[in-house]
Amino acid sequence: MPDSKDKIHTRRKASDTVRVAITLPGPGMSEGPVKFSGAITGDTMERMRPDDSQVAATSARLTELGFKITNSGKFSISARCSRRVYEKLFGTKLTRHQLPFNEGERCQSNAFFFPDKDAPWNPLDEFARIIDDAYIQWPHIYMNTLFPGSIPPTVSYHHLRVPGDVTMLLNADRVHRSGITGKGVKVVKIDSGFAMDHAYFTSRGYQTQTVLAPGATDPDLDGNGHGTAESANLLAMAPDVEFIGVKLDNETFPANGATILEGLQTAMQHNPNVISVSLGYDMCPTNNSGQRTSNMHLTALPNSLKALEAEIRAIAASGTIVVFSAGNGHVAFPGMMPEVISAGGVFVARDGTMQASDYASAFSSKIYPGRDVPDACGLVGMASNSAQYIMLPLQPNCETDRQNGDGTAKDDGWAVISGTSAAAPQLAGAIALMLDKNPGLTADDIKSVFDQTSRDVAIGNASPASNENNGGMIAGPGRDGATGPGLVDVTAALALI
Amino acid sequence: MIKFSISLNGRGQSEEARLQIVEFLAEHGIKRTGGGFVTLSFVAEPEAFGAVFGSALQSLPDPPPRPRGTVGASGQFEEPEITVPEELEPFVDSVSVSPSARHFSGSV
Repeated sequence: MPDSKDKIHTRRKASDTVRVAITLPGPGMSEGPVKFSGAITGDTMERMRPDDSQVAATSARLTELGFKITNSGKFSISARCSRRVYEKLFGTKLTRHQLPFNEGERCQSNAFFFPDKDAPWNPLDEFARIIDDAYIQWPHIYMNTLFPGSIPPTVSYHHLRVPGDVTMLLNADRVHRSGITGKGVKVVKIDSGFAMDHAYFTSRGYQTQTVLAPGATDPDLDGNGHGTAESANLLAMAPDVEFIGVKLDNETFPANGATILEGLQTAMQHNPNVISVSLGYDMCPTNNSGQRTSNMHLTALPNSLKALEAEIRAIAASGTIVVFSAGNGHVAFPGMMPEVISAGGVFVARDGTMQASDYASAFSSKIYPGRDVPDACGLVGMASNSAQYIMLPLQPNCETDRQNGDGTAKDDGWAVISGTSAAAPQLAGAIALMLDKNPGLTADDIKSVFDQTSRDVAIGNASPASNENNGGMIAGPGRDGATGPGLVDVTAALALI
Repeated sequence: MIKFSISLNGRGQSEEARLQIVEFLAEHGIKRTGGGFVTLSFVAEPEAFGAVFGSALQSLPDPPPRPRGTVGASGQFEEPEITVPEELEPFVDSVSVSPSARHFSGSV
């Protein structure tokens, strides 16, 4: 699987045309500005300046030899020729070179032809008379766009930015400063796709790779944008995890994309410590179009999901921690399974006050009696503005980027979104930090730690659509139906383990 | 195409049983796409699925364009009558035709 650097390097072929800068000797001199061995001053430069007739004559001769003159200045001629002409005229051998990029840099071209250090060098004798020197020009790097797109746009309303706002509000900064960043922990995120060559990710040097689940295509593409965006939440929380994105989508033939189960099967080939999934199903009656027809909760799992249920149970029993979103008004499966850690939502206003997100689900499962969702909460926006809450990077011009209403451009590679899709990777990142400190923790241990250390959220209510009785679960002092124990506090959690 | 998964019972989880299942379905043109601890996933043409499991299913259509707030494909659940062939019966707990999932950045 190529990483993003490999992809950059192989996208453009080396051109067979070489671009040459040629300097001329001064009038009556054997040297020009490149080979001149004395001190360069304004006077010597003026003496070395070729006259117009010399430039014209040299240009004509170079043209006869196979160069195409593209421009000329006071001291130089710019010309192009084929690789073969250059090798013949200079008695050398050109080989393909690749520029050593820093991550995130972009160049005019990244492969080009140039003589190796030990290549022969036997230029035509007459060059010693008519030119000072000739150098193949390397492709240039765009210094003004070292990390293009890495800075998010500005929007006028209250929102959070990654990584800083998310780590601050989940109290992870102190843990990071103590050296716990998720190193050595392998986390798989299963989602639409992963455009990890976005400058937001490359500029931070995250360790990521993308693998394809059955039926998914093009590991560098995320036509929806969901997976790329939500990955930023996870990597904000645990920047040094070994991140594996399992792509489900097939942008060309969507119905051929992978199922969640196929994604989990692929994930387990990589022996992850944590799996994060911001996808699921709504356990309420639907019509033939898949639209919910009632808020009544299903009391039994549809047969179509039994294999998925069995596999998640087996994965959890193997010791892998599985995190699912609780849903955005959905009665979410697999988020309701007792074996998974279910991520709900808390909204933190500009002034720091916390309330239950009325966009996030909270419910008591009828399929698994006694199971209350969520287990703990991440950061999720409010329903009044469609949960536009966290500015996240995604593939420019992807489906989510093109949608209106969040104040960002349709093709700028940024969108303001959230939902419990954001909460699950935040919790998965928090869990990776816990496993960094204590690799022996089980899912039950982690739920217990969240119970004891999360910040209590005492106001607001969860999404009414997730509660059968119409009226969202109410938050209150202590553990409550809307937020469970409340908003995850990573510093407090790690102090307990 | 129809994507479906088989949940394996204890006997079906052995390597030998898995191979037997995969080979039986391959004879009907059904291709294995993945496997986990207790499941195997497959993709089949509707005709092949119907021939093996006695159920007339159509391929799921591609999801339509979605407005903001309803990100993700529909979550409808087809509950077809599925008859597990006797060759697979000793190994199979259940057969699930996979529905499309929702992305949880959009609401109900």
